[in-house]
Amino acid sequence: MIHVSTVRIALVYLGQAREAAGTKEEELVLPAPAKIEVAISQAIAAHPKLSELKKTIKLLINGQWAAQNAELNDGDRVTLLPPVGGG
Amino acid sequence: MLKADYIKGNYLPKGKALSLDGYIGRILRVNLSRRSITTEPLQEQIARKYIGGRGLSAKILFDELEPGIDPLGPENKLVIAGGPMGAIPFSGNSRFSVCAKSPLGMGWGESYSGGYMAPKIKQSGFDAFIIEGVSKTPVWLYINEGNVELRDASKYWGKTTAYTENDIKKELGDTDKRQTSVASIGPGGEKMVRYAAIMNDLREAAGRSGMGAVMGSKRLKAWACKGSMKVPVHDEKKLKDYMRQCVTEVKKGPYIQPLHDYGTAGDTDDASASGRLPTKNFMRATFEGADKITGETIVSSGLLTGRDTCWACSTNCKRVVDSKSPYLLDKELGGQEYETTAAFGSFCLNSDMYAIAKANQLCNLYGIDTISAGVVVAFAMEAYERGILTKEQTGGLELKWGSPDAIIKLTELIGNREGIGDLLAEGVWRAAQKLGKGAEEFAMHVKGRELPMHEPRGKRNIGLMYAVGDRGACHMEWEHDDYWESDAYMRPELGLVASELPNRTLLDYGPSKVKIAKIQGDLWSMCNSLVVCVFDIYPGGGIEHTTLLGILNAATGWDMTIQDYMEAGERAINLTRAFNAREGLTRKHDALPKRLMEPLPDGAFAGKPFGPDILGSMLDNYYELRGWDKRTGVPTRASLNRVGLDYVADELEKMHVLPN
Repeated sequence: MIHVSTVRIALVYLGQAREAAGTKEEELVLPAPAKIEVAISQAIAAHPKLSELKKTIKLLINGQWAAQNAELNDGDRVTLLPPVGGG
Repeated sequence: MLKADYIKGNYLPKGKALSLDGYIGRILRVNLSRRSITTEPLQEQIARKYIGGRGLSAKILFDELEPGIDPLGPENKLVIAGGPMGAIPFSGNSRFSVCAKSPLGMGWGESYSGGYMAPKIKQSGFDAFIIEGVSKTPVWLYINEGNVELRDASKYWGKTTAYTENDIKKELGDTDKRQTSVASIGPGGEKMVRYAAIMNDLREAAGRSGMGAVMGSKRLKAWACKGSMKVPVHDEKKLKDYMRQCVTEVKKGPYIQPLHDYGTAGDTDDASASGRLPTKNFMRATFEGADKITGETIVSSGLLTGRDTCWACSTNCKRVVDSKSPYLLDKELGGQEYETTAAFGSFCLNSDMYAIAKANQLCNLYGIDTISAGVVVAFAMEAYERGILTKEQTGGLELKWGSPDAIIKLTELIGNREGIGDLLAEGVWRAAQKLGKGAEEFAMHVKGRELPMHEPRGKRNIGLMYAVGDRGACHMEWEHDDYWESDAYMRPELGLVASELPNRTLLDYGPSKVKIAKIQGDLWSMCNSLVVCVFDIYPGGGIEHTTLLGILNAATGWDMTIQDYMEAGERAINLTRAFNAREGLTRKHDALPKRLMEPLPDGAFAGKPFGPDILGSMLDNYYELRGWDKRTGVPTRASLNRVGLDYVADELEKMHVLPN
């Protein structure tokens, strides 16, 4: 039997990303090793409206800023944060 | 008793058509000391140069106020103004300005409000009102299609804003809620709480800078505007085309749908998640209770019972909240915005959204600014924790962090200037000076005005904005850093060219970021002169500045270019800067509280301070771009001449404050 390891992460959508995804949070299981850009691609495939925000969205892993190519670990919380402006 | 013959009359020119397209063409001047009412024409060259709102008010106040006057004395003047597009129905075109020398800050004061007043100012027969002098007895001002009356307000003195507004409408015999728009002060303004607000349409506030205190000092309890006068426009067809464009564009703004759904308070959990939610008097930037007070929870919990809007706006971002317990709320008095949510929430470590809603409505009733009030409460809580404020001084009130009851009680004491509320009504700057014992260290203000709820250590341009704001710390001088990292919001026609602005991340603070601040500052300054809501305008909202320019030109018949448009914004900034220079303000006042210079302990920006080196570099770049003197931060003759303010340079020179 072939054992395929995976990483289980939570995607947290804030602001306009929550509107586009239609949910505040969801779980995603990816084959390991996984980078954040793969997670985002899967999220966009599931919620096409997210593609409109791709250029402007910022990413955090466990509350810390993360680059598109950052590697994901099991249990990570990935936050998709659109611009937060004045109000 | 007031003598009616001195205080009532029709002030429209008889038999003369309105001739200044986009405007009524008349300014109303009311001198409360002399009880005189006069009008003066708004000259086209003045309108074209200073536009309305901020620009026109800055022109009037720079020309008419002597430097060094007491902002709460008879020499101060209050200018209430709309813009040239007032009464033209499109999303965002529903604001008016109130400007005066600020009793809270160190110089220039300005504030803006939405609701239904802005079109009524125009429809009542004037482009702006200038209120001067001090009345011996409380009065209110009634303006109806050129008819102007000063009426006795003794029976309203001491009453809340809502009571006053509702009873004035009864006095006028209004049967329709929107027939008249009323703006009033509550006990906060009457007792000259230095951050007193002017409330209109029950829930809208010209909150910042203490304009309500200026109104209170003049014993002007309220003004009411009624009427349906039509503002002449130059090209109806073109105007309609641009208005249609607005309808399409506004929806494209990324902020519009979330704003409708969750209001500005919807940003609360986002701000915490990104490590930028001002928490515990700027000691932290994440708040574990953010989810409990954010806009989505206000909706899902049922606290939100409806959405409301300002005049002509399709965004519907206003909140209606209602509850019988744990605090009795009134659905007519409005729900909390983001600033209020953070100020009475995370900033005071309070995660009870019902208490925030109650504090918000109390502020609306007493007529005090929710941002300043929240910052003052947090300041008092920290002073109490440090033993600088004792239980004896608070009258037995335990000012523990996060206590909803303490927040509500303190808000009431401030609104009535009772007990410890009398000291706190002075604002954190003055209260800290009186308390001493190191309280100045945690008084979060710039130029005397309390900081809004945005974290400069995670948005560098916010730090610059707080420092250089002429009205003191302000979050609405230009759009925040988040938008600029992406090329999607670059606009070559506005000078925002991606390839020329290479470093635009949240933490960048070099020339690119400062140039964006300058360009955006000119644009938003113009928005404040047009007096439109920036939520509906690019980049958060979708309406492009070129579309606004199209409306302006169609309404007025002018041929302004986008460069003229931006220059008008820049001119207003130079005028308010010159106003402050005349008051003795220089570069040293463009400073941030020491706490912001220290690194954050938590969140995504932990360990990153907004150090003096960063601020110094940003100030140098900013002054250079504006053509201001780097040593003093005062506009030079060249910079003033460039925007057509030669006479202002002469005035500064006469006062020996013009840089050599």
